[in-house]
Amino acid sequence: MTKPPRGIARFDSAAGMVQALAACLHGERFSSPSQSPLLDSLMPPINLLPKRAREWVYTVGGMSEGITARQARRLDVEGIGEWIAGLYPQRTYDAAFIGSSNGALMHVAAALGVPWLPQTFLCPVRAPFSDPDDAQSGFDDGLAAVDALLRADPRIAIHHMQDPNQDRLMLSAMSYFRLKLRALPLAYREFLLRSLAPDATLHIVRCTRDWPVTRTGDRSFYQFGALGGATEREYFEGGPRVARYLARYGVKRTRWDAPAPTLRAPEAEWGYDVALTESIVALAKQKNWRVVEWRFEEPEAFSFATAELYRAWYREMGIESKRLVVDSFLLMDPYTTLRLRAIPFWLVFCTDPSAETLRRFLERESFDEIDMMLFSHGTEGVGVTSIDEWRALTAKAKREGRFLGVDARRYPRDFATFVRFDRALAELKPQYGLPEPMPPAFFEDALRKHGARHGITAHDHNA
Amino acid sequence: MDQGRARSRRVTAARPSWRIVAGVGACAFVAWAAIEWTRLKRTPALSDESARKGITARYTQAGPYRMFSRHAACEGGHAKRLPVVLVHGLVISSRYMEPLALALRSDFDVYAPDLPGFGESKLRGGALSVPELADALRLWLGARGIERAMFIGNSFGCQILADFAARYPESVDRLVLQGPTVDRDARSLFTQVCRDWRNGRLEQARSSAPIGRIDYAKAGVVRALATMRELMRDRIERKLSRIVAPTLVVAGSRDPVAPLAWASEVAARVPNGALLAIDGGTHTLNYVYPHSFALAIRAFLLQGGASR
Repeated sequence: MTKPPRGIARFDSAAGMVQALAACLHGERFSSPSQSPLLDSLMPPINLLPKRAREWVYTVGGMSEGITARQARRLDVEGIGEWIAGLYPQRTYDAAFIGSSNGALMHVAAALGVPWLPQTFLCPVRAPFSDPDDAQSGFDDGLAAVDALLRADPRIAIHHMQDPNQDRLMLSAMSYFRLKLRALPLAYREFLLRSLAPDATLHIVRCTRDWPVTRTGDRSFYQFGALGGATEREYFEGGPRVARYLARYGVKRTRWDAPAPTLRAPEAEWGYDVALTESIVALAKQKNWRVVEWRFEEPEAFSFATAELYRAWYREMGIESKRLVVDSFLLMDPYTTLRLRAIPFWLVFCTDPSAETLRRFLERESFDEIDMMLFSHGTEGVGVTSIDEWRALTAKAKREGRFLGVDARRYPRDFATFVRFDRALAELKPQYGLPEPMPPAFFEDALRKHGARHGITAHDHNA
Repeated sequence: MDQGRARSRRVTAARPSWRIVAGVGACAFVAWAAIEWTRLKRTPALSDESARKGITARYTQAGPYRMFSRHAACEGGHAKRLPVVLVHGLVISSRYMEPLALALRSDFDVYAPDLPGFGESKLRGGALSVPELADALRLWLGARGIERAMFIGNSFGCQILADFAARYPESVDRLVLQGPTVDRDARSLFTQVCRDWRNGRLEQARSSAPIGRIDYAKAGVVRALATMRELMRDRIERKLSRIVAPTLVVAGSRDPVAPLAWASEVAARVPNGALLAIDGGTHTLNYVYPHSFALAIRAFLLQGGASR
C-alpha cells in the first residue's frame, strides 16, 4: 500500500475503505489506516495523555493532512485516481463497483474479489484557529478554497462540509471539502479498460441520501451538518440536545446559525452525484459491458443486505456462521472477516442512529459471538452512543460479546483504536483460508431478489 | 611559535584525507555509473514478459540500415485491414510502444520499428536528420513489403511522420499525431526540457523513464544530444499543409509538452485534420494510458482502407 497523494485525507471513509478492500484483494489484512508505522507507534503513548492534550494532538495530527488553499488550486485529480487504481492487484476482473462510499459494500466486493472505485474524496484545507460553531464564517472563509478547487479540475463538484457536532476537533484547524467526481478520471478509465473482462459488469453504487445545502456555484455547495448523531432539524433549528452540547464545550451560543439552504443535494460523504453516470455508461457502451445501478437511500441499508448475502453464501459452502463482526466507519478488515467466516455488519458511525440499526438487526438475528470495532472521533457530540450502550449491544451475543481494540475508558477519544482494532480482530480464532470468490451471479440474483426489503433496487442501464 | 607550526601541520595533514575521500567517492560514482550504463545497454531487445504477451521481434535490412522492429499480430483475424505502424519519440525506442501495440492488436496488425540509431537499430556515424529518419522509415516499409499503412506517432515521432506523409503520401492511409512537437511558441531547448520534466511529474505513477534510461544508454549521449538539435531545428508547422492523408491530432488535456492550443493549431494546419482531446491525458499516452488512447482512436482507424 502507498500513502494517498497530497490533498487527500487518510482518516476519510473513502481512503480507508478502498485500502481495506485492496488489502483483501492482495490477500492481506487492513492493519494500518494511517499507512505510517511511525504514527502507529506513536498512537498508544498519545492515548495515555490527558483528555485535552489528546484532543490537541488529534487536531494537530489531522492538520498535517491538510493542504493550503493555494495548493488546492493544483490538486491532482488524476493523481488521486492513479493512487486508487494502483492499490488493486493487476489482474482481470469480472466486475467493478463505482460510486458511493459504503463499508458494507467493501465486504461484498471482497467476497466477489472485485475492485471498487470511489466517487467521493475528502480534501482537508488548513484553516487554523477557526471556530467550528460559526457557520457563517466557515461559509465565507471557505469560498476561496472552493474557488481554488473548482479551478483545479472541471470534472469535480465541491461539497464544503461543516459539521461542528462530529468534526469539532478537526474543524478548529481545517475545513472539509468533499470532492465528487462528475466524470471518470482517465486513470479510472484506463484501469477499467486494462482490468475488466470482455463481458464484465459495472455496478454503480448510488446512495440517494441527500442533505439541505446552500449552492455556491454550478459545481459547489455548502453543507452544514452531516449524517450522524444529530438530526437535520437540530443542525438548522437547534434544540435541547444541541444547547447542552454547546454548553458542554463552553460555547456561548445555544444553537447554530447556518446559511439558509437553497436546495437538497447528494449528502457530501455518502451521497452519489448522478453526473458521473453518463461517463460510466458511455464507456460501458463502447466495451459492451453491462451496467447495473444499485439504488438505496440509507447507507446502512447495504449492511443488512450484505449480512444476508454472506449468510446465504456461507450456507452454500456448508458453513453456519455464528460470529458477527461489527465495523465502525473506516474500521474494518474484510480479509480477516472472511477468514473468520464471520458475518460483517457495517455501521456509519458511533452514534445513536447506527446503534439503533444494529439493535434492529440483532432483534432478527442471533450470534454466539459479537465482535465490535468502535471508531473514535474525539467529540462528545449530540447523539454519540455511550460505551455502556455499545456494551449492551455486544452483550446480545449468546456466548460472548467483546470490543475489538477499544479502550472503553477513553472512548470517544480512544485514538489508539486505529492501530489496535485489526490486531484484536486477527487474534480471533478459528481462522481459515480465503474462500473461493462468490460467483457474480449469486450476488446479483440475491440482491435483486431480496434487496428491496432493505430499500435496495436494481436499475439496468443497458435495458 | 612551535604551537603555531604544530597547528599548521595538523591542518596540512587533514587536507589530503578529504581529497582522498572525495576522490574515492567520485571514482566509486563513476564506476557505478559505468556499470549501470553497461547494464542498461545490454538490456535484451525483448523481455520475457513482452514475448509472453505476444510481441515478436525481427531485424530487417532496409537499405543501408539494419533495423529492428516489434510486431503484435492481429488477434481478431482482420487480415484485410491495413497495418498500423507506431513511430517512437525522441531517443526512446519502440519498447515504450508495446502497451499501445498490445491494446490495438485486437483490431489491427501492429508494427513498431526502432529508427536507425535508437533502441536495437544500431547505427555508426552521426545522428540522422528528420528527413533522413523519414527516409529510413520508407526503406523499412519497403523491405517489409508494406506498401501502405496507418501511422501513429508520439512526440518527436510526429515530426518524422509529418515529413514522411508530406513526401510519401501514397504510403499513408491515415495518421494519428499524438502530442506533436515542437510547440512553435516554445522553441527553446530549456523550455522543452522544463516541460518534459513537468510531464514526468504528472506521469510518475506509471512512468516510461526506466525504458527511457535503457534507450538513452543504447543510443548514447552524443546521438541523443545531436537528435535533440535536429528536433529543435525541424519546423513541423511548415510541412503540415502538405499532408493529404486524414489526420487525427490527439492531445492530452494535461500535456505540458504539446499543449492543447498547439495541438489544435497542428490539426487546423493539416488540410484533412481533426483534433481529439483526451481529458486528463499527458504526453506519453501510448505508454501511460494505452487502452484509453487505443479506444479513442479506434473508430478513426477502422475507417482505414483495406490492404491489397
